[in-house]
Amino acid sequence: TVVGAGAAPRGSPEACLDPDHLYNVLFVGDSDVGKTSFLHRLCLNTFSPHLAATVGMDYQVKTLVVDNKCFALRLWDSAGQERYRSVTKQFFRKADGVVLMYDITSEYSFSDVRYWLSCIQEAAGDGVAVLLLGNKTDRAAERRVPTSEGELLAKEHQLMFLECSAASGHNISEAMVSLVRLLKVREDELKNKAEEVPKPPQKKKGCCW
Amino acid sequence: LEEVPLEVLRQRESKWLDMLNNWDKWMAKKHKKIRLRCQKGIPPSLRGRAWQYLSGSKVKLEQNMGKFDELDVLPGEPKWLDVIERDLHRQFPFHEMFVSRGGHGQQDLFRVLKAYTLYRPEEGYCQAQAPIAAVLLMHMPAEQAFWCLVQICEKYLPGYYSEKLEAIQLDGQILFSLLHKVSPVAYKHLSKQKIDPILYMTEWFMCAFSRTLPWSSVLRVWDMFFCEGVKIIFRVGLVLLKHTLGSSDKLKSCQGQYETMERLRALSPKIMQETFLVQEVIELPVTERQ
Repeated sequence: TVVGAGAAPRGSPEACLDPDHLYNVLFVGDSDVGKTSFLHRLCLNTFSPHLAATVGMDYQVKTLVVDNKCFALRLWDSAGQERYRSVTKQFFRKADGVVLMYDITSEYSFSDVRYWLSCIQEAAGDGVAVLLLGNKTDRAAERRVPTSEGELLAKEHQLMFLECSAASGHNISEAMVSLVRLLKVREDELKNKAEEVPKPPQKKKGCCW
Repeated sequence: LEEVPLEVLRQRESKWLDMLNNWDKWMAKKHKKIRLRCQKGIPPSLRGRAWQYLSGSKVKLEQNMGKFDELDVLPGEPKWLDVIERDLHRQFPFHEMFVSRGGHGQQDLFRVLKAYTLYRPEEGYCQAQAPIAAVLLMHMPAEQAFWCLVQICEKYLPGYYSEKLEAIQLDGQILFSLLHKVSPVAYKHLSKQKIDPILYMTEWFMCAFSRTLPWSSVLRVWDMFFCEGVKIIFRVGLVLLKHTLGSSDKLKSCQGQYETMERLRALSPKIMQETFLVQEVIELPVTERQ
């Protein structure tokens, strides 16, 4: 059920008033890889190279129509610097999905992906859907991390993988649509499981937190 | 923007000059008067000097002559240099001092932040220190700004920027319990919406409102902050919360969690206006003991 790179997005990033599903999505990754820029592109369709470094936690909301269903996404933008972990880790636990971002022009940010995976696993467990996302494809000349390496790492850890550019807008809504599809599949799986069991352990989806 | 009449400004300048020239005497005998004058706003021409006197960074520098230059010529640890460099162009990018990559403002910012990682290697660099240092550099040279930053990190906001960020989380809880007294309505609403203080106060407190308030208000808040300390930061936070979420009327339009967060992110300019804000901060009924 892992949606690979290049999956054709049939979803559209339109707004919808009455969402059928609500997911909490957490953005993690090193400082300056472009988490806030990605969210600005997704939610406001703007790009500024001067966005201030996130201190603590920020928050955006986005609704998407995917496969004729309406999804509301709560997008949690966490500070990238390591020492904010103690502040942000409480939000890891409540995430339905995680976008783990690195900067394709920075080897450091890519080698830290493993560290971030361990944080996610520690706090959220194995069940959480993770999208590995290489940002800044617009800076092709400065690329230090080949696409194939990202793909390989994603395969190894069974993550969904894409590359994008918050600066150009490349693959921004595609990335979210792919993640939403995966989250929907996971949700359906959980529901089915729950129906099989006589007394279902109610997992409240998308409750306030 | 509040315009101070020129005549008043000149009077204030001469009063401040007198204070700065007889600082120890004033600190010992007329501290109340200093506080009052900080509340009225320090004249812009003397602000940088006054902050150094108030914070004690002037004395600190004099006790550590040459220390900054010593740190300045050291290379620094690569892991800190990397993060600092990534932040240089992201601090007040529209201020003329910091607008150009590799310009003087960004260079000095780098020197100050790097020096701090060498001064306190166990603490290193925390991203919220950059806006603080940038505001200081707008008012004083790099060496002075460095010692002022040291005072803020060690005396004013101890532990805010250290490894585990424990102090800021604790102060988030304290802010929230003070809110219970100051504005039960706002407290109840935030509790009901399960909005953790960390979500709105981290940037407020760690950056001492430098990225939140309009510029003229930032300066007035910092004038009081340097004189009275962290309680000013608490008071500002409480005033903002009270006037944003403190009545059922105000809550009508932000009933959900998201709407509330939005409201706290896009605060009303009216409540951030310097005269209003400073007055409210001074009059807020919170005592030191609480």
